[in-house]
Amino acid sequence: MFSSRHILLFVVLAVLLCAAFVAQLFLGSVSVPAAEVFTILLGKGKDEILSRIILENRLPGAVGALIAGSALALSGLMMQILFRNPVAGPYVLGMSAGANLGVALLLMGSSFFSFSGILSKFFYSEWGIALAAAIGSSAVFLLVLLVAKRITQSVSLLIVGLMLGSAISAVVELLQTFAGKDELKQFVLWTFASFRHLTPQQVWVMAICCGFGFALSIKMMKPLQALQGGENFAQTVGIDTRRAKQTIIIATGILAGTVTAFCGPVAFIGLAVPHLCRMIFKTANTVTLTFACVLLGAVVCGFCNVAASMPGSEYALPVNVITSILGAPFVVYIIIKQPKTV
Amino acid sequence: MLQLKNIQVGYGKKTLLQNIHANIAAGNFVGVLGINGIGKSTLLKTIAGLIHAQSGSVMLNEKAVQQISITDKSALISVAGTERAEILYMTVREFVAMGKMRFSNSFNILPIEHFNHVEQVMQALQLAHLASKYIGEISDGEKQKAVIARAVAQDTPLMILDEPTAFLDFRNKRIVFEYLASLAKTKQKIILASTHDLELSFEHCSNWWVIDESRNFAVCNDAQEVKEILKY
Amino acid sequence: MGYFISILSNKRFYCWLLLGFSVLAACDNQSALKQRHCHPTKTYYPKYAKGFWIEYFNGFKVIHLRDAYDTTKAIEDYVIYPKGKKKPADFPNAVAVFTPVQKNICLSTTHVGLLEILGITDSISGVVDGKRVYNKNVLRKLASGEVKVVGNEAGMNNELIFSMQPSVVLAYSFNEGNSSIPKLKSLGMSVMLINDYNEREPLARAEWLKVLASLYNLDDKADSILNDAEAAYNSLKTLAATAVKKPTVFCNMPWNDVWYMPSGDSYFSNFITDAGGDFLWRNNTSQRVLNLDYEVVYAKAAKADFLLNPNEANTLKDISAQGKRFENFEVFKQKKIYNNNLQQTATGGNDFWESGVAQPHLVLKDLISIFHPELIPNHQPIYYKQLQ
Repeated sequence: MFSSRHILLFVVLAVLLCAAFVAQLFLGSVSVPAAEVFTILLGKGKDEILSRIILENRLPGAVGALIAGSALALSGLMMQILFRNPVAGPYVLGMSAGANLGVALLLMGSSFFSFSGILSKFFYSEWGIALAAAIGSSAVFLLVLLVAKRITQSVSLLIVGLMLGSAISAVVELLQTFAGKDELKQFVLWTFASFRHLTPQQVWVMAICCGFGFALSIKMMKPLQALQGGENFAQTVGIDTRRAKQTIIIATGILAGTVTAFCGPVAFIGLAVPHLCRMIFKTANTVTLTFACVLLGAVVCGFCNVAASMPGSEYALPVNVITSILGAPFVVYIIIKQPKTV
Repeated sequence: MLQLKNIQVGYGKKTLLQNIHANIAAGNFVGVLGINGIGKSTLLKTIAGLIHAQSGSVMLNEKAVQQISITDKSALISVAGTERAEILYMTVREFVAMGKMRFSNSFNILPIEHFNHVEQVMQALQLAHLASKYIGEISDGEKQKAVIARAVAQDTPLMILDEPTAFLDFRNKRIVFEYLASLAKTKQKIILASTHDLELSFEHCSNWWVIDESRNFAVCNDAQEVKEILKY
Repeated sequence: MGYFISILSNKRFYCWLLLGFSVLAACDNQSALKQRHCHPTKTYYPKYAKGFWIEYFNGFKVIHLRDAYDTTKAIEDYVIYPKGKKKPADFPNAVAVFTPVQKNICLSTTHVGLLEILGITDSISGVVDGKRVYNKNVLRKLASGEVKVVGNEAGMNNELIFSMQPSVVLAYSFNEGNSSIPKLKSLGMSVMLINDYNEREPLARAEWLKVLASLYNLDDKADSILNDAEAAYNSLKTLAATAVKKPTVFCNMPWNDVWYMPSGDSYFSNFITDAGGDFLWRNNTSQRVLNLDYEVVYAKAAKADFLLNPNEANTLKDISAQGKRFENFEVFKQKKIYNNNLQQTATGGNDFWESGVAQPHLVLKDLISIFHPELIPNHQPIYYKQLQ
């Protein structure tokens, strides 16, 4: 089934995945000697501060980054195939705009309403932001699902998603206009995405939700294979495209929505990694591509996380700076080099 | 057995053809003839169940096509249109194998007998030497043969082909017509193929559906009738 | 025609031309200073502030603004003189502000604080963002409508400001909102930049009292207030220096992974040092605000003695709500977290940023009593509160 070349590539990816995971643990703004990291990971760390840095700061972030990378790459692949559009990504249906809106209302909406008492304490916490983002993207995603039932043409659905995203962004801009400096900065930083603030509990929730999303995506590998030929074609070979579309949208919503809720809207990974997979594996077999995206997405995201922490310097960059600097030129390169994609 | 019971086909408010009656038994290779734009494609799509008939019904083995589920339909009807086979990095083999989608598991793996059948079909259509090439890199004629191969691989009692030989050179047109004719007979399929290659269709088809310029539909059992209607 | 050509071909003509140009060039602002007709009766150079100096002339005053980070760069000049009189010829480019200054508009609440110390909050006719004002007098007038809100974060209401015809608009930046300031200037309004926030020494920020005082002829009052403040501040500073052990201090809270820490050369860094504390990033002056990674701060400050100014937090629960990881800091376990929002209104008006700016000695007293309580026993905190 898999050619020997593919098997080799998967082995390389698996090795790189381990490397990405390990790099995130060993490298960071604070220089911790490798030997020390080893002892800490084995549970025998002596220095409480360094232990906490490795185990509580870097480790959850490392796992989170890998999960996020896989989830985004996978949902990007599905969106690109479903819409037969090379520049589709996980956010093409407006879900990241929805998450932005949720967080914007929470952080900057105090001029319009403020939560009182206990509710406020919960919402202005780490879980509150994730919840606000999740509610926002779920609302958009349900709207899109509803529309998808009525609109059969995928192109129309894509346009609706884009327009919805624009409309929501306008509301976010409105909130930004009236926001105070601190709130604005906080919101803007959220949109730049990061992994290293994740707590172990959050990573567990991410893993469970994304696990569910992965399971749905695995079921969709076969329909996606047929969908590459178009919806009519897929129907003639026996794929229930209406059902498949719904499941794909749900899977994307869960994967992209979960990542955005906890990490912020991570840019470019969902868009670029599927193309990278195609270029490396040179296959259209959606089974191969699915697993390739899961691995390569995690690898790319992991290394971006390392780069963002700017090892050796006291400063750190938000993740989107790295992914955008690398991602944008790459996407341009793809578009130029391969005019006939998907 | 395919039955067209007084169907009317068209898009939206527009009607292209009406009062169509036909009964075709298994083992027949039907040539669908008529000038461009007369409604052949619309008729074929309606029979395939891709669009709804405006009135009347299409019955396949006593069942109304419109009421057959998508999965069941894929086991009964295969369609080869003028679709452009342009999927990046998909090999010809993979493309033809997509016709077997209802037999593959969630991991796109086919049981060995179906895999072998795919190879067989590619051989018959002289595509075997291209099996591992990317479908985007072969010529237009070869792409078209791949589309036909895919429909054949689907192995359904009814096959509907819309201008299957449009881009082929004369040698390949002959190969395709011969193959379709033998397929209809040996596997007892009903094969509907619209075409403008009148001579080849006279040679190989068993009957013809002819639509003249006034949109009259006629079922013909010999070539002479056809020539008269079309004033050929 | 021939006459002109003969002139242009005459070498001497060009010599005169060259001479004429050099005379004109010599008459720019620099040399104008030397060729002035009026001489100042007094020149005020602030002891601590770097962003301004004042010249007093017979009948008018000139306030010179310059960049507090690079004092060779002049920003703007303001000439203060009575309405109706002729503008002093020596300062053609200075912005005119007419006395008596009857109404002004404050675009920052620190201006309110400075004016309060001088006792002239009645002259405020407009503010931006009424919710963030602490001053009781101004709040009362906001409620009754005597003082108007002329803008918010989204921008300023130019029409309203213009219709109010204030004597001067006190601004804190030329780049705020949608840069309405050039528009206001083009409408003929006097806009004066108050750059107190660019000063990094606490006494320097207080010295901007002199600038405001000069608008109202309260220069002497400002002098006496500043002298008292300076004396009190310096004596407290000396007192703090007697402490043997300096506690380690850090500031703020992170957003996501980024921890904005004051620079080693900053308002808070100086306060901490003057209060006998050891600000952990005292030696890092590479940026105006340090963008540190959470890890770095945790590594350095996990066992620090005090945390100041944790953004908007009021209780320890607020801190841990932002992340369980903050409970690992020693300052959390020992309850040594202090915030400068003891005097705060429900809508966010904070007196630390109003009267606190003009009374740095009181802030210093608070800080010393936090770091070295034995030096100032029985002190009632004014601006800082301990988080419980």
